[in-house]
Amino acid sequence: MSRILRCALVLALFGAVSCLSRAAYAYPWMIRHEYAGCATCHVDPSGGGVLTQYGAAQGDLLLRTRYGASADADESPAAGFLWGAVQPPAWFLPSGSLRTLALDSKTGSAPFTRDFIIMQADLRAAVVTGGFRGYASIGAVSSQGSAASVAGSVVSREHWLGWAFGKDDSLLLRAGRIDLPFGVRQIEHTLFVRQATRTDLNDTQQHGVSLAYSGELLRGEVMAIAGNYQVSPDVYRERGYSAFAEIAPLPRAAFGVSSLITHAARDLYLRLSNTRQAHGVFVRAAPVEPLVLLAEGDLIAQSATSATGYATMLQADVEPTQGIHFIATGENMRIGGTNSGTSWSGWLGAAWFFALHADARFDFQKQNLALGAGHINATALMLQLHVYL
Amino acid sequence: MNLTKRPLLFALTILAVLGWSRGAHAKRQYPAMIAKDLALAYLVPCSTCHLKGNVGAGTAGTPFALSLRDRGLSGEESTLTSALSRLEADDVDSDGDGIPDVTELRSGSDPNSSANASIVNAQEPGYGCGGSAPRGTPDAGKAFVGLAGFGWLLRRRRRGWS
Repeated sequence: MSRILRCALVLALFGAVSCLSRAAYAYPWMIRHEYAGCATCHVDPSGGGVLTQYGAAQGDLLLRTRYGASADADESPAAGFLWGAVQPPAWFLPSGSLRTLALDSKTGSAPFTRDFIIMQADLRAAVVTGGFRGYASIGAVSSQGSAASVAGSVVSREHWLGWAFGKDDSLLLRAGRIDLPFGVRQIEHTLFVRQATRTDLNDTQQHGVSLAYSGELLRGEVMAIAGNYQVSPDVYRERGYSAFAEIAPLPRAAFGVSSLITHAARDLYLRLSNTRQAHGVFVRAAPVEPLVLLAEGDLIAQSATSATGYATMLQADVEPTQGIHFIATGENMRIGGTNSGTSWSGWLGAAWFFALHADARFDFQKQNLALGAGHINATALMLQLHVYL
Repeated sequence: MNLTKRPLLFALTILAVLGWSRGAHAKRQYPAMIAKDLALAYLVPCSTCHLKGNVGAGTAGTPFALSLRDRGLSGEESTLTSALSRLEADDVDSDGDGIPDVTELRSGSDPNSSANASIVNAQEPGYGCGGSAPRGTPDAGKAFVGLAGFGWLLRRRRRGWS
């Protein structure tokens, strides 16, 4: 069987995984290895998604458990696309990701229920040649009504064309469907800070034009939002801007600010004309290499309910030995409005990057959610398995 | 088999096993059942229970849906009627606007929004190029077929293509 045919068969089968979906991979705790920026390892200069060739190599050298291999050994030939089975030309960066979740959850006094969710079954590819950048993803989900849907259960979270310029291609001007530049870009798309600001990696991308800068000391991105053209009618499209800027004064510490203002004639959640604002700060810091602290705090305002609120998050990621992570997260949120209380949530988790292109993660989450004038308790046990191409 | 490939094969096996399980999902007949139980003259939109109207496993997360789940709603249809009865008996007000959820549904306003937007014959958001509104949950069994095929191919690759 020819290599091209083999590759096509694998891609076709992968694309046939028709299920639910969520989240890309973006690991802001890589700052422990003095990677304050994202552009070195990701085609998207603000992080997440398709890896550069250098990024794929770091996945072998820095992410996974090495099982006694020498620390200064070169990356495995299997670190590349499809475990090295095919070697695409340098300008073409194909990729894909499959992330599954077994979820046991309990709300209030109800018994536990179990769901199996394919969080992500995406194929992605990027073209990087000279200053030109092209990027697209296509995947399938088993839910319907995803804001990233292009047809039924078929989703495309990102697709954009851009041009890199300036010293070392530090500037990227691009247009298309892009992850909103805001806050800490991380895979936990259900965090209060991501939900309240609607800036997760799952399906809240928007169409628009953005300019990103990636320097040694500073990085940032500002995006003019034209609306999500995969949602209709037009009244549901949010228009405005989203932006962040981050400074890394130390190799293992970065401090950022974010801002977003959008308006929709009919808000997807509130069904009313709504101008949304979110403004916040975030920090990524590794005081010692095994420990990374991620923090974010955002103020939120919505005109439809004349409400102001906030969402905050503090996460500690401890990596005692390469590839094994213990993660503790605390968060709270107050959306504001009539009789609105404060919601609290705590996560304890462990992740193991146990093989090339593969990791597993377990989380226990306890929430106390504001519901009208009262609160409700929720518990979740989550087991994720992730394989990427 | 080297140490890097053995855990990968293990992961693929687990992925395939997980593919058999199936949890509580949204039911496309729920809006009609709610209309019947509460004598509504309209069908409540999917987004009354599912955030942004995105229907599928794990998406019933609106305040109204959480209140129903707290009162026993699961993926089983038989639990909806009893959960609605308990919701009404408890005078639950999920959005904190002072009007109980069932009263809001009967008057046609959103039980999730303290701004009391109307949900009667409201134009729901459409998704995708055609802009069609969601209608239900596809069969998760297709996932297993895809996952199993993906695992088989990787195993073939490990043994060498022939």
